Amino acid sequence: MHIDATLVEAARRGDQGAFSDLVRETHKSVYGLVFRLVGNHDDAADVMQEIYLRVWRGLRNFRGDAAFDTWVYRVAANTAMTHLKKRSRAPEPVDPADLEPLERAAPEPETSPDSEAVEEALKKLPEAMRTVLVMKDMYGFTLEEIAKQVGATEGAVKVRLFRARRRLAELVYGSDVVVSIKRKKASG
Amino acid sequence: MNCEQVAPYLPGIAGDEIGAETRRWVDAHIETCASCRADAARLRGVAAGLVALREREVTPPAFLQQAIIERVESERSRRYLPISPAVSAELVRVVSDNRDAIAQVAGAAVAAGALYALWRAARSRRPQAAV
Repeated sequence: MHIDATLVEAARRGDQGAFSDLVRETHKSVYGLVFRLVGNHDDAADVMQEIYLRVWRGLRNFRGDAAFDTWVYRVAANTAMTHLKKRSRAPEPVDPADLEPLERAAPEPETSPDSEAVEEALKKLPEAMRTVLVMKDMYGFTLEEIAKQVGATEGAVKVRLFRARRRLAELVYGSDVVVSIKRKKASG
Repeated sequence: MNCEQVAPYLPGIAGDEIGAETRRWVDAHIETCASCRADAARLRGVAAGLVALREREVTPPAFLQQAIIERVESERSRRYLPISPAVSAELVRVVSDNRDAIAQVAGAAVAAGALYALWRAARSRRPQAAV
């Protein structure tokens, strides 16, 4: 998404029409990030309203050091993570079926899986794994940014990211990458 | 370098999280090991799948865009004026139509305040009558 700088400047000066245009231009792509972080439409819709309130409040101080869309994505991730922290006070139910591989033919190891299979597998991942994968591998956040968002060290985020990539590969391909590593350990 | 030593770094080859030297010896091992090459291909496959997934739009609920705009508008009205959006819009219109008159009244009020302050100061400097 590319946002016209004059539109951002007009919204920054308080032009409500320009702000509405910014919402119209950005909300679909921001929704993609938020939905994949929080995992359902009801929560995503609530979080989106909070995001744009924060954007509106923060616009006055937006100096354009980062592109507007990059800044909005950061606000979105931060708001979604705050929401997830509040939600996680209630224990996340674990359905054993969620830990099983997808019920579909696994793609060949040398081919890329279709995006539907990846989306389905992503939904099955535990929240802590899903959030780092979405931020890093889909939206290009740095480890440092993710560490700030999730309140962990960069090293811890990296470990979680590596585990998440393995888990996702297991779910998508069916063949167990971790098992093959264990096998490697056994064989030395 | 054997499979056990390479395994922890395999998820890193799909991203930018391992250093150049580590990547070199992981790549060198993968060249010679079919099992690790298959694991690496799976990990690269899901990484590519995630990038592609970003382009796949998630359709937001139809009401969302309007709900966001109304929520921000409501916050804006509440923050600046504790009255309804319709009344605040009317007030803004009246103020902007009468900007000059309002400036004159405000100027007169400031001048009156300054005169009053001077008068108070002069009065406080007068000697008090003996009791």
